[in-house]
Amino acid sequence: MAFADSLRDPLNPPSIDTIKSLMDTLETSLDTELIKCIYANCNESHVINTLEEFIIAKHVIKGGTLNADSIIRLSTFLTVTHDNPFASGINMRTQVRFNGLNVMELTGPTYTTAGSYVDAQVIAQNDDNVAKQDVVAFANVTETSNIALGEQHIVAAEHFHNTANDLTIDVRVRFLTAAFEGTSIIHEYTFIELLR
Amino acid sequence: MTKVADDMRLPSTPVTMEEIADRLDAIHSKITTHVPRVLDIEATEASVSGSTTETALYTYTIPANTITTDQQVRLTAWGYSHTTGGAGTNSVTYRVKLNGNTCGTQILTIDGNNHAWRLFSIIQGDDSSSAQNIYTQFHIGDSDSWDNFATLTVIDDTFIGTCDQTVDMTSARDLVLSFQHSNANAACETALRGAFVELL
Repeated sequence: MAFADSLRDPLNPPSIDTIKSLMDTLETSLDTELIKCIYANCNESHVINTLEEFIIAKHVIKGGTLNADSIIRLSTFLTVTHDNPFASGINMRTQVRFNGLNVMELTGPTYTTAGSYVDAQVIAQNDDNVAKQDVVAFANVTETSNIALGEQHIVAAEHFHNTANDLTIDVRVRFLTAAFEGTSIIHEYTFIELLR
Repeated sequence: MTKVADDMRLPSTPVTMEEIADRLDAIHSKITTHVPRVLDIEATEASVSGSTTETALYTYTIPANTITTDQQVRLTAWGYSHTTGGAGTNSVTYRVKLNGNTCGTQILTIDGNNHAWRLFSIIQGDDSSSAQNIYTQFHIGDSDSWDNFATLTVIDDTFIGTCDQTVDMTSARDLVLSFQHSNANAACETALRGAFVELL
């Protein structure tokens, strides 16, 4: 049976309300089932020569956007390089924060002149109410030329942000041991999907 | 400004109900078959403890004809496992099942508290409604990787597996994620904290 067969019955001509009802069903599907990209940014190059925190990506989800059971998925990918041949390596911290509080913190490994990739994903699901979230974060780090040196990290936890209010999400980095001339981060991409 | 339904507004060519039905069917078909979307979200947390019986913590019934030729469905789930207070060693067997057939499984040794875990499983139609390729990736963190959000902990174990299945997906079929402990001590627990299924 096709979706709109109720309009095809010659013995029961459909009313305007029947048509409206079908359209409402389609609109509800569009609003509640489709995966929406609510933030995307990519291909930015940053030279960072300080020990200050640097915000790579930031987005504010307006209060009321997330309902009970809503899910967001943040994906980010960075390339970290430095070209100081006298440095054995640098340490960098990568964080994803909700309203200024960590939901993911990755310290290290030691980044070398070979260059490294940082690939992280955070999934946050509102619980049965809009003020509590189950969050799982996952990160891969690997040298650009040697995937065998990769590390994988995971953490999951409950968080308590009232998403009836604005939720500020950011991806930030900070060099911990030294900052060198020529240290750069390529923000390959960050995007946030609203799954429901 | 031109709108998509402007051709239905021309007074010279009255629209029939059949035409309206056709247009609605076409929109509905695009939404249900061509657009990546969420098929299901698990809203209720579930857990198993004090038992060595295989226990399904998540079940989603894939509607008939959702996976026919090359369509993909992706299951994402996460939670934690722990063994506390002198309960001894506990092994956890996780299983991803399609229509009762195990298509992804691994035995994990849980040797301490609060191991966070995450699972991806992709079920793809293999040019047929009765053949599937299934890929599963399972990561479990070291002790205290649950509820220790300040710092990510190194992965304790990573498992990747593939398998083929021959399930007739023209009928509705259950996709199940189950867990089974080897230790019946009540302190051995596995919890599912989030799960959802996407049609890709």
